[in-house]
Amino acid sequence: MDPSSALEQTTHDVSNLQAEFRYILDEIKNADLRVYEQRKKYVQRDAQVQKFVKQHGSGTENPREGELSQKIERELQDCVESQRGKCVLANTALFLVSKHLSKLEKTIRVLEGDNLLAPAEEDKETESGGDNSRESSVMSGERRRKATPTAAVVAPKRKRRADSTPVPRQKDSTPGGGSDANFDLQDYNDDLFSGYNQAEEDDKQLYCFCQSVSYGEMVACDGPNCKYEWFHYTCVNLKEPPKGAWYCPDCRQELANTRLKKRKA
Amino acid sequence: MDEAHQHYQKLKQELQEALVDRETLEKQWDQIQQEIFDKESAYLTGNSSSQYGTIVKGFDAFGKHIHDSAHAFSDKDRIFSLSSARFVKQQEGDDKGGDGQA
Repeated sequence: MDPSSALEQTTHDVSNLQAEFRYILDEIKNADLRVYEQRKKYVQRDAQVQKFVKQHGSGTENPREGELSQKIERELQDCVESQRGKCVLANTALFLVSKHLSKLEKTIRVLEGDNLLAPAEEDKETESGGDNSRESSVMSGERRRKATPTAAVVAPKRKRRADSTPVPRQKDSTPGGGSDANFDLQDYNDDLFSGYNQAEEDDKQLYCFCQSVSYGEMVACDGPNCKYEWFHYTCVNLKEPPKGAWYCPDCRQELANTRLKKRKA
Repeated sequence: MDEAHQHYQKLKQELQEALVDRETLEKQWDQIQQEIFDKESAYLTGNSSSQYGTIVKGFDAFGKHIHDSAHAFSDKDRIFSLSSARFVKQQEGDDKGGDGQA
């Protein structure tokens, strides 16, 4: 296996994802519409029950109440079923992505092991380096290397930040803790996907120049162009949250360089 | 009578609690929906969306830098938000409490 065929295989593999996702989310939508309609129905029935009470007082027995209650209950049950279906569908979607992701990661590890690919820190770059050569679908090592620096300049980083913000939020917190707003969702997800959700979503993201998953306390680099953005305390010799801006060794170096240049100019 | 009264009080309290619960859940619901919407926007407009493609547009554009066309996405592409009937109805404006949208 070589990087170019691996890339081709991967792009081929994921080419179905678009359709699959559209389908799955469509199904979720249909299920949700069912819930919505059922809900409308039982709310209506509930209103009927209440209307009767308002008209006849709570002392009078409503001959239809039993029947209505039963129907309401059935509709609620239907809602629960539909919601379950939605969870299964969402789970399927997550599974599909996870499957591709872990496969790609495995491939990358194999390539790295064979010294066909630069080590993990260039994950992003090799991927984008691969993009360029996909058009020609011939990828010599030389070309890849040439493509790497240009492709890696800025684009991937913004995205990564956007990706990773919901997870590592505060400077001095672990990347696992979300804010209040999404806390419940997180909880719920953990329940639901306890098997692989954490592994896939939280932990698979690689941080720091050691390119490991997040563990313990993490610190964010304030460098605008930082390659990694998040670092393990232990990797950068931190024991407590830094005061003020903190830069990783690379960015500190870069900062010093630019200052030097400015002074010279 | 006393027993019935107690029963009534108990039910009343349950109902009150359930109503409060429902309100909280609805608020959370809106929040989550908003969050999905925001993340979806970020994902679809993100820098890398033009470069790598997205799961919505497919990955055919992978590395081809088709800037304008890849960046532009219509509301139809919001497949995540649109999978919520509540979101759709809120967009149509015939649902009460339409604060779950941008």
